[in-house]
Amino acid sequence: MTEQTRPVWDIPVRLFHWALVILLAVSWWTAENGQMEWHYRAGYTLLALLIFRILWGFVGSSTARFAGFLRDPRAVFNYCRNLFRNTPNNTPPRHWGHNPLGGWSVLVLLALLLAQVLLGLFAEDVDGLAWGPLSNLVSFETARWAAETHESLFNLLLLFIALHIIAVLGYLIVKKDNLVGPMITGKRRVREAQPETSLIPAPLWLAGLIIIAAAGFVGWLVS
Amino acid sequence: MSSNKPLFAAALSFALTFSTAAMADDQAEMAIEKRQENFENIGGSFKTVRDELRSGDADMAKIKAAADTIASLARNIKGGFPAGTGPETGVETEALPAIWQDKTTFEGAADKLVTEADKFAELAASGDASKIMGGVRGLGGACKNCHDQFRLDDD
Repeated sequence: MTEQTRPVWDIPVRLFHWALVILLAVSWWTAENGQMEWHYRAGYTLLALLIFRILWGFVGSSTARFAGFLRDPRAVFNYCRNLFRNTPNNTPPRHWGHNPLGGWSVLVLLALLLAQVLLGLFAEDVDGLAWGPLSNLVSFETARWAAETHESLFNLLLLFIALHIIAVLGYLIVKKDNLVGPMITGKRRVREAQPETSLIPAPLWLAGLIIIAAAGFVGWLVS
Repeated sequence: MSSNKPLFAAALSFALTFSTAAMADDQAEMAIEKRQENFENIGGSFKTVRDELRSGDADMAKIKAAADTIASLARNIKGGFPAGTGPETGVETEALPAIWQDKTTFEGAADKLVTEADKFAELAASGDASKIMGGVRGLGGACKNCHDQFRLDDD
C-alpha cells in the first residue's frame, strides 16, 4: 500500500486557525497585564477573522464549509461508537476534513469566541479606564455585566480549547493519526483505498476580498 | 407556673441574642448595600461623562451635572465602611479586610478620590471636551488606586 498526501485544508483555513492561537494568547496576556490598547486591537482582529471564517464557511473550500462538516446526530453517534475500533488507523476514515465530532466542536469554539468578542465590545471596567467601542450604547449595569461575563466566559473557552488539544493529542497518540501536520502543511496522508479525498478549493482572491470587507466592517464598527 | 420561669428566661435571652445578632447582620447588609449603590452611582455618572464625550455632540450641562454628582458621592465612601461590615459578615462584598487593617491608607485613598473628583468637576465646568477627556485618566486612576489595594479582584 503506497501512501501519498492530498490537500485537505486550504490556506485561509490554516492561516485563520493559527492566527486564532496567536491572537488568543495576545488577548489573554494583554488583559492580564493591563495593556488594554493592544487588547482591543487583538479583539478587533479576532472579530474580523471570525466574520471572515463564518463567511468562508459558506463560500470557501469544501473542507471549510459548515455544510460539509456539520453532520446529523446519528453520524456523530456512529462516529463516536467506532472511534476506537479503527485504532490504530487501520481503516481509512470516510470523511475528508473535520470528522462529525470535530465538526461540531469547531462550531462550539467559533460560537464561544464570537460571544467572547461581542461581550468585549460592550464591556467596561470598574475604574472607568477601559471600555469597549460599543459600551456607550448600553447602561453601566449592562456594561459591567458584559465585562464580568467576558471574564467568566473565558474560562469556558479555555475548557473547550483544552478538550480540543486533548482530542488532537488523543488522535496522535492513540489513533496514530497526526492532525497537527495537516493544519500546517494543508496535506494529509491517504491510503490508496481511501474514498473521498478531494479538496475543492475556493479562489484565494475571494478570501482576500472577504477579509478586507470584514476588516472594513470592523473598522467602521469600532470607530 | 413558677417552675417554668428559668426555662422561659433562658428561652427569652436565647431569642434576644439571636435577634440582636440578626439585627446586626441586617445592619451590616444595609450598610454594604448602601455603599455598593453609592459606588454604582459614581460609576454610572462617570460613564455618563464618557458616553457624552464619545457621542461627538457632548451635552456639557449633563457632563457638569454628572461630574458634580461624582464629587458629591465620593464624599460618602470613607464613612461607608464601619467596623463589622467586611467579608467576615458573610454578606457578599468585594471589600477586602485590608480596609480595616490599614484604615489610614484606605482613608487616604478615599480622600484622594475626593480631591480628584473635585478637580474633575472643575474641568467639567470648563466645557472643553478634550480637556475633560484628558481628566478621565486622572479620575479613573484615583478609582484604580483604591481598588487595587482594597477591592477584591476576582479575575
